[in-house]
Amino acid sequence: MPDCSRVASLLEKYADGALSQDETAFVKGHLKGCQRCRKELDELLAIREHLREAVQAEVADAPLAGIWEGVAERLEAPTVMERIWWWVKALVFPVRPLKALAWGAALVVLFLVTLPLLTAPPTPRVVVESVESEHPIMIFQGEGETTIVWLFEKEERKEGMR
Amino acid sequence: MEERELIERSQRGEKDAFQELMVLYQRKIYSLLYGMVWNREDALELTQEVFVKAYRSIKGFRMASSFYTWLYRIAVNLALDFRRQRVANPEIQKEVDPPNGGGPDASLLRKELNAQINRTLGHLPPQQRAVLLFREVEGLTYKEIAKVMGCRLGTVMSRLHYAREGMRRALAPYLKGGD
Repeated sequence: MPDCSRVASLLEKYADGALSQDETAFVKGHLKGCQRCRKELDELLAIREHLREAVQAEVADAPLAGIWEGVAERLEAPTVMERIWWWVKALVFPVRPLKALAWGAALVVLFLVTLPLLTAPPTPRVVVESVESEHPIMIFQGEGETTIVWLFEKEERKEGMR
Repeated sequence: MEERELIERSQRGEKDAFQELMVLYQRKIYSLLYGMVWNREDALELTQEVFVKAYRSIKGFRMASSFYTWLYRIAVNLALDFRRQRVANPEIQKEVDPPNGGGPDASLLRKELNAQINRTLGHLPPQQRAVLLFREVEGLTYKEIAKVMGCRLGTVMSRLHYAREGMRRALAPYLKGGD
């Protein structure tokens, strides 16, 4: 038949329901009167049927019930990337030991700084005065004792010593 | 519960929601993988691997595409990798399962036919085999197959055509005069 070659090129799409309405109508019309093309289509459909049955026969009794346990178990385990990263961190960037060291050092410094503050006696109250005279005088007055300092120029001191 | 909600909950790390999703798709994924490797043990192993991979990357799944397309893509990539490994390491090549043939009542012809289908699928290039299974067994449209396989529509149709030709030639004795 003259339309056979055209139908042959459309037959797979026809079997897959992928033709337009017009093309579907054309192929359907042709198939009614063409044994050869009908046989071609039947073969296509038979292959589909056999393939489906062959796979489904195997899948029907597939032990899928326990599949989640296997999946869950694998999800608990670290991935390859996670494992690699862990080793990289442990070997190349020992972040944890460094952190521990830093924290330790900070605590020691803090202890050393605060210890004198906690144990030292309170600083006595000191009053400092200076008195203007021929020689400057500084008076340090603490609790129970007073210190007076005279300030001499260097030359004057030498002369005084002579 | 709706699939979308299950996906969102899985993205938040809720494993029980992911388990429900898995139950929805495990048979389809197993069926595809079985068709690809034709060995029960390998198909089960790969099915688990598909869901492990899916769970670990589900946060990256955007609702723009359908979930099963995304899942099928993971499955087909794993199956293709698996076949590549097997080709590269023929010493670990497992025997394919003897055809089940639909149980003890199945006819001898049916068993023979299944064995022939098995052999023919094994000789098809993996990409053709995947397209054939997606179309004939899973019933995906050309567009869906193109999405899953990451190729053009024309490539899908061409692969499907050659796969069907291969099947037609190999199964010719069984197809004569109908089944």
